[in-house]
Amino acid sequence: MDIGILKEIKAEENRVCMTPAGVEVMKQNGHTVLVEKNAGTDSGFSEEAYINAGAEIVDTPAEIFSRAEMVMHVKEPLPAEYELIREDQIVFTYLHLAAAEELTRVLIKSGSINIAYETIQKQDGSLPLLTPMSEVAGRMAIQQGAKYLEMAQGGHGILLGGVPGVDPGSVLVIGGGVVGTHAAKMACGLGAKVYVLDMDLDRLRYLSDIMPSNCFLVMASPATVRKLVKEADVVVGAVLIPGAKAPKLVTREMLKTMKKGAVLVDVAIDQGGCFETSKATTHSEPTYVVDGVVHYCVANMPGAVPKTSTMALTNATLPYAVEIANKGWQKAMRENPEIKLGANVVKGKVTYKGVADAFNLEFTPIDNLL
Amino acid sequence: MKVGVLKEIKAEENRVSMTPAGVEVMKQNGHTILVEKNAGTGSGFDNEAYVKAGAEVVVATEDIFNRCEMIMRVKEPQPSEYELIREGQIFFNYLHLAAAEELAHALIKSGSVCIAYETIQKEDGSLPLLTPMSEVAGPMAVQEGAKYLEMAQGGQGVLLGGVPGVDPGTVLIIGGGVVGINAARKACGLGAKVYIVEANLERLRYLSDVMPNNCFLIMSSPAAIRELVQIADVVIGSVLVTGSKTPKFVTREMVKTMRTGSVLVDVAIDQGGCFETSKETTHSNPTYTVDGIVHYAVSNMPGAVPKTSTLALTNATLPYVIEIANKGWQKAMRENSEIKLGANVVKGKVTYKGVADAFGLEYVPIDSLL
Repeated sequence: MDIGILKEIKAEENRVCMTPAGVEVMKQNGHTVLVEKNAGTDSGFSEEAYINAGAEIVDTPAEIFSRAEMVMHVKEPLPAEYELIREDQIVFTYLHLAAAEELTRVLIKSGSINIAYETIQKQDGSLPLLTPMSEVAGRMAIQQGAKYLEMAQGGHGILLGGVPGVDPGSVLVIGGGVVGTHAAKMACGLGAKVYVLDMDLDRLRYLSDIMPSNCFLVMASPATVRKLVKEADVVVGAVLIPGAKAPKLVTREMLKTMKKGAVLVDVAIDQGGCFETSKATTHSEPTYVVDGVVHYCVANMPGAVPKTSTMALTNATLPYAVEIANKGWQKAMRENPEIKLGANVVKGKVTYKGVADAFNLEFTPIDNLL
Repeated sequence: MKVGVLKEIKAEENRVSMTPAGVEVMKQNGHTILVEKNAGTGSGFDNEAYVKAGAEVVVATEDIFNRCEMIMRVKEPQPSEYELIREGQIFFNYLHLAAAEELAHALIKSGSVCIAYETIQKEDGSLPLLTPMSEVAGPMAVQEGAKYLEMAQGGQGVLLGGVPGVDPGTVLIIGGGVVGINAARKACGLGAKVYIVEANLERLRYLSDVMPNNCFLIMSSPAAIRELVQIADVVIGSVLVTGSKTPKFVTREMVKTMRTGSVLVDVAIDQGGCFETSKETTHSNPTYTVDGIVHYAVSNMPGAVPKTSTLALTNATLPYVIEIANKGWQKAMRENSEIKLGANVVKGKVTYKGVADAFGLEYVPIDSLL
C-alpha cells in the first residue's frame, strides 16, 4: 500500500505521525511510504533519516493526497486539506469529530475511510492511542506545577519536594487513571506528599499496591476534594470521561479556600476542564491567575515535548497502521475489533454512534460496510 | 540581647532571616526581637504572626540599627545602610566579602562585629549555613532542566523522564556534593538516566551506596565530561570550590558537541560558573542560548522559592543566633570554633584570611580579639 505521512500544520504542533524507524518497518512489510518535506524536523528527524529508512520525500500535501491510499496525520485535517481528501482514501489520525461538525460533514462528503486514533479501543475499555499522550501529559503536569510554584512565575515560592527539615509541598491528583498515575509517580519521585483521588475502589487498591509510600489514596467525593484543595500546593485535574465533557470537580467556591499562589494544572482542558475556573491556554501563554491561584490549562500539553510525544505516539500507532496497510481496512476491521471501533466516517456514512448523536446524523453500524 | 530582623532590600530577594517560630525560641531564651515591618511577607509570614510570637514590629530601618545589639539579615548590607551600622554592633548574615571590596571597607570603618553565614564551618569542613541553600538549588536545577527542555522554552522537546516505551532523558551532574546529590535524587525520581561525575573516590563510593540504580557514578576527568556532555539532555554544574572561582569544566568547544536544544543549568554561577559560556541571569529573564544550547544561570536560585528557602535557612541559622545572643559574640566564639570561623571583620580588623588576601589588607587572627 502507498502510505502518506503529512506534515502537521496546526499551530504549536511539532509531532509527526511516523518516525524513520516506523518507515523501515512499513518497508519490511512491503509498503511504499511518502513523507512530506520537513514533516519530522521538529521531532528531531531529518529528511535524510527518512530517506535512509526507505521513504520518498514529497514536496506538497497535494501530492501525498493524490498518490497515497492511506494518509496519516497526528491532528485532524484542516480546511486547506478538505478538498484534497479522495474517495476511498484511508485517513488515519486523531479526529475528535464529536466536537467538529464542519469537519464531520466534509469527511462524509469526501467518501473517505476515516479511522480515528482516539476511538480505537481494547476489550478492557482502554484507549491505546490516547494512553501514550496521557502518560506524557501526566508526567508533564508535575513539572509545570513545580515550576509555577516559583515566586517569579506567580506561585507562592515553595520547592515541591522540600529539603531536609522543611515540609515538602502537597500535590492533589484528581483521578487515578493513566494521567493521574503518571503524575503521582513523578510527584512522589520529587518527594512531595501526594494524594490521589479516585472513585473506583479497585483502582485505589491497585494504586495502593504499586505506588510509593508518599502516595496517599483517597476515595473521591465532593467532601474529600473540598477538604484536600485547602492544603494542596499543586492540584492536577486528571479526570477523563471518554467522549463527554469533564465534570467540574473543583468549584469556584473551593478555589477561594485554596492557598494563594497554589497551582492548578488542568490536564482535562481538552474536554472542557475539570476546574470551574479553567479556560484553555497555549504554550506561549500558559498561565493566568484567578483568586490568587495560578491556572495552567494548556491544551495539547504533549506538544511541548514533541520528541518524546512522537516516539510515544508512534510506538502505539505503528502496529495498527501496519495491520491496516497489510490487510486493507475492511479485513483489518473484520479481524480486529479494536480497529473496527476506530471507524468514524466511512464512505459517506457515520459509523461511530457518538458522532452521529452529536449532530443528529444517521448512524450506520460499520458491520454493514464490511 | 536585643536582636533586629531587617527586611531584605535586594532585588528578587524574598527570604527573611528569622521566622515567627524562631522569634518564639529567642523569646524563650530571654531576648527581645525587633522585626522590620513586612520583613516576612515574601516568605508567607505576616506582621501579625511575628507579633503573636512576641516580636515588636518596627517601621523604620534606622530604629532597628539604633536599638539592637545584633542585626540579622539574609543578604549583605546595601550602601544606603552603611552609615547606620554602629560600633560594636553584631552583624550576622551572608556577606561574601572577598568579592565586595567597598562593603569590606565600610564594615572595617564601622567598627562592628561582622559574622558571615558562609564562612561558619564545621570540623569536617562542611559549611552548615550554605548547605540548606545547596539543598534547595539542587532540586531546583532539575525542575529548571525539565522545564526548559520543552520546545516553547527553547529546548529540544523531550520529557526528562520519558514514558513507557520511550527512552528517558539523560542528566549529567558535574560535582557530587550537596547540590549534586540533591539534584541527582530528584532527577532519579523523575526516571531520568543520571550521571554524576565527581573527583573524590570516597564520595563516589558513598553515592553508589545511597543512590538509586538509575544513578551512574563516574570519576571526573576532562575526558569523561567531554564524552558525557554529548549524550546529555541536561547538564547541571554543581561544583563549589570554597571561597575561590569555579573552574570551567565545560568549555565552549564541548558546548559545540552537545545536542541542540539541550539545557545547561549552572548552579555555580555565584562563584563565576562552571561552564565557559555561562553568564549570570535573573529569575525574570532566566535563560539565553549559545550554539543552540539553552543556558539557565540564575544567581540566587533559592530566591525563587522563598518560603522553602527561608525555612531551610533559618532551621540552620537559628542555633547559632541563639548561641551568639545567649553568650555574646566573644564567649560564643571562644567556646564554638564553628562560630569563630564566621568572624570576617571585627572592630575594624579583618579577621578572615581570604578577605584580607583579596584586598591586600592586614589580617588579624580573631583569637587576638577574644
